[in-house]
Order: sequence, then C-alpha cells, then structure tokens
Amino acid sequence: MTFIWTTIGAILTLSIYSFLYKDNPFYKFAEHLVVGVSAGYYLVIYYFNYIHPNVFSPVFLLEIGGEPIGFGSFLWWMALIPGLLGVLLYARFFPKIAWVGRWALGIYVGGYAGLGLSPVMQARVIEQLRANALSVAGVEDPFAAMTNLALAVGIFAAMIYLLVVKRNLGAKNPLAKVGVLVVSAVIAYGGWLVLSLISSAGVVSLTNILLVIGLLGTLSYFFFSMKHKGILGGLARVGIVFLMVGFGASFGYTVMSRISLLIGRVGFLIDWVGQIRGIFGA
Amino acid sequence: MAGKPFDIRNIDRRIIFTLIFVAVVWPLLQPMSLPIDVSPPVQTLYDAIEAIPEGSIVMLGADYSPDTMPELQPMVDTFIRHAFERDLRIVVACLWPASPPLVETAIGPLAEEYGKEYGIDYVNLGYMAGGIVTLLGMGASIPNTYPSDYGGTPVGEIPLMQEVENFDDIAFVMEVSAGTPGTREWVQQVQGRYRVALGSGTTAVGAPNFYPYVQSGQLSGLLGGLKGAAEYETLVGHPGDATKGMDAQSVVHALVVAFILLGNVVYLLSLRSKGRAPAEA
Repeated sequence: MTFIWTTIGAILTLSIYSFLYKDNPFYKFAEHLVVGVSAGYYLVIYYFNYIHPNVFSPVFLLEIGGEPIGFGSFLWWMALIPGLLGVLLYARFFPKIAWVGRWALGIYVGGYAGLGLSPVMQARVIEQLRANALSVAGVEDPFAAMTNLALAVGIFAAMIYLLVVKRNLGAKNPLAKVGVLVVSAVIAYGGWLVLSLISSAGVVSLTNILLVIGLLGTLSYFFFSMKHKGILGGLARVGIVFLMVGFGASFGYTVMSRISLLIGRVGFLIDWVGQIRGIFGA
Repeated sequence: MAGKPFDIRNIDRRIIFTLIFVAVVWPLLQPMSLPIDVSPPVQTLYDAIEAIPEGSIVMLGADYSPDTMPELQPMVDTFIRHAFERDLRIVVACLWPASPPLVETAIGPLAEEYGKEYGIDYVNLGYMAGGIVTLLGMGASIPNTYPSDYGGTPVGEIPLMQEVENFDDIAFVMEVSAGTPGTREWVQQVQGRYRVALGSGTTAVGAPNFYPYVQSGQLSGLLGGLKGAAEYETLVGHPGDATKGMDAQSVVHALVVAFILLGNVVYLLSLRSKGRAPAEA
C-alpha cells in the first residue's frame, strides 16, 4: 500500500517538474490537484479549529471545550459578537453595504496593532539598538561601550544639527553653536577611534566597528529628508555597499533553500526507484 | 546558407535545468563526504541545549508544512534525538495546522529507539489556531491554551502536563519555522515578554532575517536551512538526511557560481564588442 502512495507521489512530482520542459496537461492536472486538495484540507482544519470551537459550539450547542454555557450569558455573547464581526467581513462582496466590513477590519487591525506594538518595539528596535552599542576594544569593557554610546549620541546630535538647527534657526543661533561643538566632539572621537584601531584593534573590535559603520551607512541611505550630498552622501554610499552585501547573502540563502527542496524531491524519487528495483528484483 | 551563430546569451534554459538536475543527482548517488564546518550560531544553539539540566522540560515549536520538509524535518529529527539523548522531556506545540503529523512521523520512531513513553517523556499538543494570540495565551496557561493533545486526550490526563503551567516551567524552546507565525513571533511575544531561552531553525530563505536576533542574544542559536541542519547533525553525531544532501548542495552552489561568472564574462565581452562596433563601421 505504501508503495502505491509513493508511486502516486512520484508521478505527481514528475508531472510538476515536467513544466520545466514546457506547459502540458500532466502539469496542469497536478497543479489543480494540489490547489484542490490544499483548499479542502485547510477548509476542514480551519473549520474545526476556528469556527466550530469558537463560534458554532458556544453559540448553537451552548458549550465551550465540553463545558456548558448559558444562552445569553457573557461567554455566549463573547462568542456571538466576534462571529458576527467575522461575517461582516464578507459584506465587501455587496457594494451597497461593503462599508460595514470596515468595522470588523478596524477592530481586527486595532487589536493586532495593540498586541504587536510593544513587543515589536522591544524585540526589533530596542534590543537591536542595544545590540549595536558595541565595544570597539574587542573586550567587554564598560568604558568602551560607553564611548560607543557617546558616538551614537554624537552622530544623532550632528544629524539634528544639520537637519533642524542649521536649516531652520540659522548658524548664528546658540543652538547651532552647540551643534558645532557636538560635531567637533564626534570628529575628535573619530580620531581617538583611529588611534585605538592602530594600537590595539583585534578581529572582534574590527567586526564591531564594521557593524556600526554598516548600520549608520544603511540608515543614512534610507534618510530621505536631506539630499544625499556631502557627509550624508558618503555615508549613504557606504550604506549601499553594505546593502549589496546583504542582498548577496540573501540571494545565496535563497538558492540554498530552493536547491534543498529539489534535493528533497530527487531523494524521494531515488528512493522510489529503489523500491521498484526491490519489487522487481533488479 | 549558414546557420545562426551560437550565442551563449540565448542558451536554452532547459540546458541549465538539466545541468542543475545532474548536479543534484550525481552527489546523491555517489556521495563525496565533503567536510561540514560548524558555524557559531549552530554551535551556540548546541551548547545551549547541552547546558540544560537533565530531566528538564523543553518545548518544540513546529511551524512548517510538507513543502519545507527537506530543510526543516532534519532539524526536528535531530532536536528530538538530542533532547532524548540528554533525557530532556519534550512538549510539542504547533501554530501551523500541517505540522503535528509531520512531528509525529519523527517523534514516534525516535521515542521507540530511546525507550521514551508518550505522556511521560513527551507530548504532542497538536495545532492551535490564533498565532500570536495563542503564544500570549501560553504565557498565561499552556493547559488552557491547548486543552487537549493531538490525539484528543485532555491535558489534565497527561502526566507530563501536570508539571507544565506556563513558560516558567519550560527550560528551553526550540522553534522550527517556515514563515509566519514562526520565529519572529516567538522572539517578539515569548522571548521578549517572558525571557524564555529560545533557539530556532528556519528555512535558508528566511535565515538572513533572523541572524540579527542571534547577534543581539534574543536567540540562543540558529539553524539556517539545510546547512544549519547538517551542522547540527554533525554536532549531535548522527548524520542524517541533511548531511546526505549537503554534497549535492555544494556541487550546485559551485555550478551557480560558475553560471554567474560566465554570465558576467559574457556581459563584459558583449559590452566590449558593442564599444568596438562604431569604430569598425
């Protein structure tokens, strides 16, 4: 029996790959079969995991997880209202009342935004910022970490100076002078950085420096509020280099992923041929 | 009449497909046993699992479907083997509907091999709809979020689940994912919120998105695609399907690099010939 199913799988695999030669009825059959089977499978799965336990069972059978609930009770309403909101989503198929679907969509989007906002900020912004406050000395040295932080603050200050102070308040403004001081501090820090590189840089510190430069360059590339000229233009060009390296790595991984799938299918076909040889004693 | 001269730029794409096919089949039939170097993200994942005290409960988040099995199933197999070898108890929880039977195919035979008993040493809670809502529910109560296991047995009747209330009782989570909901949601909703030690295995195409989480320490380690799985198999000492596939992977990559170089050379030569054209005219 297993062999029959394996043979059906092998024939369908070959049918799908036959498209690489050219479109043909075998490919079309296999394609439609995949779409149909998938739709049927997921329809049943989703009904019995979403609609039945969360809507149908509490609203019509008056039970949740096998426990009885009262008609018109709080839990009954809590099942009915989301169920009705779900039905409203289908109003988009009727142009005259399509707008009521926005209520359900609004609640859905709002709910997910509320659930996601704080964790996303924490995981994707704050933790990543923290991870980029790196030591340039190549050791877990608090002083070096602090100097990195000072660099980040200095660069942000310089950007604020260039963007806000110089443009809107004029160079004679006292704030502009503070900005000039900050820029000077950054340049001084850069000098110190170069000296420390020459004197004691290790592989780790060089990696960390590259990472910070790559981060600042990439951020600069996506900073569209100023023309990419001067320092910003230079940083943006550095950013492009890092982006290209990133895209290259992604391309390599994509190739690996797709080839892995091919390897899986070819391995399956080789096993199938082995089974045939076993059966016919070849 | 002379035929049209051969121009490699107009090569039939089916020739390339054939070469790729041969590059895959040949190493699978004639293994070359190319060396597999272990990368730091895989090593740190292995070390993190090795550091878990024996008898602890670990969770396997399996969120994938049959289309990504060649890459992810070896990770699941090897993680289960690794956990059983270290006498760790496993709770499987899935956010993808197709995952539970795929995990069953791996965990059943391995449990038999290592003499592990269902309900005591491992449990498959199956699929629960809801994505991040399910993850948040598990943070409050895993038994309430998954009221029964994959076979329909109420979790109250499963001995292992008597020791599990929420993520405080889980020593380590291994999340094997092919997309959304998956590793990103686990990092955001579980690791960030409950500070659970989290490792991950992903498809290669998704891996570059998750390496920053390793660098920041949000992930204890990462298995990126077939190569990550093969490295993990090497560390655990049980070469399996991923290791078998790496020879073919390496040969195809060499071929792709050759194609890229050839394409660039041809492109540069065509530029050169175009540059000459006006002068010759």
